[in-house]
Formats: sequence, C-alpha cells, structure tokens
Amino acid sequence: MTTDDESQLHELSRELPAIDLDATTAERIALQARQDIGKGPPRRRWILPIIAAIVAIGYAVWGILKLIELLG
Amino acid sequence: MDADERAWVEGLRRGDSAAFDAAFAAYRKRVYGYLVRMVRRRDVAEDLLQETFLRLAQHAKRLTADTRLGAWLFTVAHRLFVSWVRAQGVRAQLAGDLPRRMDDRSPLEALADSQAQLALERAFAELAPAYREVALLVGVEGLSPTEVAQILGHTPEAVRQRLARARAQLAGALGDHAPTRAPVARSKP
Repeated sequence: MTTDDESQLHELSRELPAIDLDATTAERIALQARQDIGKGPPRRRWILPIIAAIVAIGYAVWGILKLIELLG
Repeated sequence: MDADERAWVEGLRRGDSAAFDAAFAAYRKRVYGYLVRMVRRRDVAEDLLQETFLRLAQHAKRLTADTRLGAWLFTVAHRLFVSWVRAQGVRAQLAGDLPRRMDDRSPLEALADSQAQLALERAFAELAPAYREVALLVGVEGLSPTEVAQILGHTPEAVRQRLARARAQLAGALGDHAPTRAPVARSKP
C-alpha cells in the first residue's frame, strides 16, 4: 500500500540530481572488496571479545573458588 | 526479490566474483547516493561505501538464499553511518556542513542544474538526519516503510510518522520551488 506521503516523496525525489562515484574510485573499491569474497570478517575483530570473555570467565571461576573456600 | 537479485545472491554464496561485480554495479550508485546525502561529505561516503561492499564480500558465503540484497546493503550502510556519527560527535559537524548562503554551494549541490534541484537538495540537507534517512530510503530508493523499519530497527509506524514529518518539512522548505508535476496516475489492477 502506498500512502500519500510515500507518493509525494517519490514525486519530489525524482528531481534530485543523480550522484555517482567517478569510475576510478568505483573500480578501486570493487577491486579491494572483490579480493575479500568469502574470506569472512577479519580475525582481529574477534580478538577483543575473546580476551574479554577469558577475563570474565577467569574472574567468575576465581569468585566461585573463593565462595567455595569461604563456605568450606 | 527479482530473478537477477536471486542469481547474485546464489553467486555470492558460491564466492563468484562476477556476481559480486553485478551486485556492485547495481547497488553502488544507490548506496553511495544514500551515504553522501547522509554524511554530506564525498570522501567519507566513499569510505563507508567501500566498507559496505567489503562486508558484503566478507559475508558472501553466509548470505541466506532469500537475502534481499538491497535491504542488506542499506542496513550495513545505515549501521556504518550511525557508527560514523558516534565517532565524530557529528551533530555540530553536520550543522556546520550545511551551506548558509544561496551562492555557497556544497560539492553535492554543485550537481544541481536548476534552482528547483538546488532548493530540493538543500531542503533534504536541512532535514534532521532521522527524517532525511527515511525520506531518502522511501522517496529516492523506493523501499517500503516496512523494509525501512527493518533496516533502521524501528517499527513501521515510527517510520511512517517520520515520513509524514519529513514530507511536511520538505514541502514547507520548498515553498514555490516544489516540483509542479502532475501526480502520477496509478494504474488500476
């Protein structure tokens, strides 16, 4: 369903000038991205969450051991 | 989802670079147009466009068969824009980028070849980013409010409200410069 707002915005937007990259920049971007097809996200993205998880788990284990020590 | 898009998604899932090239050719102008009108700087828009398609390449094999490529790309571009805004503390910068005088054209406005286009470009630029984004995605890109709601993480109702406000603000800002075409005739089913 198209509302009046949508159709009026479509109508207005037709007048906006077209914007595009220059061909050299577009080719450079395509070339760089193409090299990464199917490689998955870079591994460095996982390093920080893994370190944070190790610290959190270590702290939790330490807390549990302390608790056991106190109760025992 | 049309047959081309389905074929590109299938190709991307296989790691086919021709499918990537086809998707890039089909969407780069649209995503770049959205980004450049949101960030108001071509250099930043180019960086964000590159990151958007880099992520498409990196996630290619993890796309599902029913992925709607356009919505996927605009979702990534939107998130990158939000990150950029946060990183820049950008509110002041966006306001600072807006031209103040009619003879002070931004590079974006230099593309306008008539007073009406210039007025329209400025009217879009003066919308609050949240309204501008909705106006661009619905008005320029032709996405439905439901699709835009998914991209932005809002409810369709919230998108429709922003759409109504954006349309009203644009109409108010344009005044006599509003395009005067006759309404589009809708074909009967």
